Amino acid sequence: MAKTYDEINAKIRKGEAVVVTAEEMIDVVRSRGAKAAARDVDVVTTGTFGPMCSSGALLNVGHTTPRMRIQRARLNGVEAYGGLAAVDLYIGATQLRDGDPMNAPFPGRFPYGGGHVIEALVRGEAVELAAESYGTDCYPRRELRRELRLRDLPDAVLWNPRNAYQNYNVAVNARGDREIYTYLGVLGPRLENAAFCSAGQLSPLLNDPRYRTIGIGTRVFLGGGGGYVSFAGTQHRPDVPRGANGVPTGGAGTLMLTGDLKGMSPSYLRGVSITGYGASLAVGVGVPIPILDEELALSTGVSDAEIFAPVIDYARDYPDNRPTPLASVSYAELRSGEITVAGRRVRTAAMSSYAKARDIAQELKAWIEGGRFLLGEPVQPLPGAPAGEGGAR
Amino acid sequence: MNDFILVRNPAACVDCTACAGRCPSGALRVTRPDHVVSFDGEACAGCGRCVDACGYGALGLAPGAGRKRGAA
Repeated sequence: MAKTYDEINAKIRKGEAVVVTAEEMIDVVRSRGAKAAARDVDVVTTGTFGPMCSSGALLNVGHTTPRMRIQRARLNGVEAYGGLAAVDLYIGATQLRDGDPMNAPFPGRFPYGGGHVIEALVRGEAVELAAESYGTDCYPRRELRRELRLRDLPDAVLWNPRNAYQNYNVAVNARGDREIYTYLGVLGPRLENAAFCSAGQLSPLLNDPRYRTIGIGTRVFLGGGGGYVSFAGTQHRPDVPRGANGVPTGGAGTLMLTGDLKGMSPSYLRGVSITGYGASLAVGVGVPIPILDEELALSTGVSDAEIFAPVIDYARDYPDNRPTPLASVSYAELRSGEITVAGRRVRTAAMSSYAKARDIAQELKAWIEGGRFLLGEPVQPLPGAPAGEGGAR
Repeated sequence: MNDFILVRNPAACVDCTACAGRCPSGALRVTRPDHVVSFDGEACAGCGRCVDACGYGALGLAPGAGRKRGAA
């Protein structure tokens, strides 16, 4: 018989919910079967940690005396967008510090960007705000320079337009004759190595492949604190090829995530410097999946051996926007350290941290078991979710 | 003997394993099933490919003056 969010939340409040991580669920389903797993397990927790470039923070820096309508702003020398009323700023993860030489000489190091500013704020460090304005009668101030800390900001919201990609490419350098520097890392020529970025069997959307429970309003673990799915992420694409288990075989869904930056932790929000590419922000995300029925037990029991990703050449095919897969490999193969592409053994490494993904799933499990985290039932399903009441049947 | 030694900052490491994927000598390896990175200083060639791969400032090269190859 199907469960409801209310029933599961009632059990959470009483400390009686049975919670396992997505990794643990694999064995539960294998040993007991999906029907018994659906009966016995209430919530499966997922996790992922890696660079998520479409991320940033919305900061209200507070009004000054006299007042100022900020037109241009920099935080520790990194431009923050000021076209949001008087004292709201948005700092993007990939924005570089002024004067960064970028890729001249090549490859650039990109030591500091918006992601590093966000990490500094979450660490409680002082960040320098430098702002200017053309001045108005009601906002006469034209210049401002002061230190600010996260605790002093009236509002600080992590607002990430595209996070937690549901599957992604495996990058190789098949067609190039020199090392190339990409957002998936350094790739040696002639299939020297392969890079991937996903938590696979622990990944949120790979455990709810058709978005039956993950939708607008879902409460999530975000950056070490609480957050929500606020919308479908940019580039959310549900209509993609899928395996018989419903899992996409390439990049598909994404999540727009929002949460209070003041509750977050530098353990799960880290500035990233990607050689030859740019700066970014590594974000820790965890999503709880209520096991409402047997189908959700089955989907959360998916293992790395059953999730496949496309191998794409990043020397020519990806830049030319004609990413024809060279191979399809499972996450079990990727995590073994070697895959086979065009008859050749290729060493693999991840840009995402499976160890931290596991930590996140375990921490979210502890929050739920401790009654500190209730499930948020979506108020609106994501595009591509099955028709019905929020996707639940 | 090499002119550089690897300097590691474990506190900055997130165990993404990107460094191990670039290590030609096997000095940096992924230990399973924990999926964390281990380092064998004796095997390190001081080439610095891992430093390029690390996005978190957990690795760096320091002058080794041709002394012992690799260091934790």
